[in-house]
Amino acid sequence: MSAEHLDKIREAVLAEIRPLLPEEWDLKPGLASVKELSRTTVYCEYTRIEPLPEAPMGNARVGFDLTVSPLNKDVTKAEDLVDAHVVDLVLALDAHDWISWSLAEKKSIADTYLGWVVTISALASVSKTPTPEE
Amino acid sequence: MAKIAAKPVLFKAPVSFGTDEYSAHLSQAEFVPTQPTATFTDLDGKTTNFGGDSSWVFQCAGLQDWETVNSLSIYLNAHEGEEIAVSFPFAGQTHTGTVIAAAVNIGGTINTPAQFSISMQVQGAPVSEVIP
Repeated sequence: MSAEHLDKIREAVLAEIRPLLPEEWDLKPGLASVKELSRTTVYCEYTRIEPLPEAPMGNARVGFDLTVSPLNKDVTKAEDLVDAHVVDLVLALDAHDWISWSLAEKKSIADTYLGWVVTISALASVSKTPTPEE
Repeated sequence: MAKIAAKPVLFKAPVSFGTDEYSAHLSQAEFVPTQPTATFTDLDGKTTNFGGDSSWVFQCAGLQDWETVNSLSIYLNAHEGEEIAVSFPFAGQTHTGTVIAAAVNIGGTINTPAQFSISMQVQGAPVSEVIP
């Protein structure tokens, strides 16, 4: 299996995260601009790229924030809804061979919801995904 | 000349000592080679370098746990001087070595998790087998 390519890393990370979430949750790319939710939603925000110190020529570590926004505005119910799933998510990431997590922090989201921001990083090759002809 | 791409992976492996798996106790587990070397300098001042077959150690670090029955720190202290099998699957291969158990640290720095870090001798070299 080849390395994940930096130009497609967001799609690759989304594809890896999706099976780790409950089926009824939404997973959306982009900034967490929460308005009115119809389902518990995880926003996957691409936040940084840095050279991989172990092999900086051609490899990178990229960062994402997964913002878990529970559907319920009631703080206690929101915690009941998502806390266990966030634990399941970080446990699943512990076994992943190119994605790791460094922090899961409970935050107020859009001054309305109480959710979690899970900071993750992924390894990538600083190269373009080969076209089918290559 | 071909430019060979790299595939970086995170080292996350279930590490076994004997028949039990101790990943939850460890922060480091690696077989480390040291090659014996010698340098010969002739009367003209010309030097020639030699390198032999490496000897190996197994470096591991982790948490001290003196309460859990058969924790890694208790296991290593109880089996000090004995040969034990250490293995972990990583990157498509299982790496196995015969390690001479050594006792680990007891105690530590105030307000930090009690840790140990040791280097244990390996009999011969670790063997790597492709996982089918």
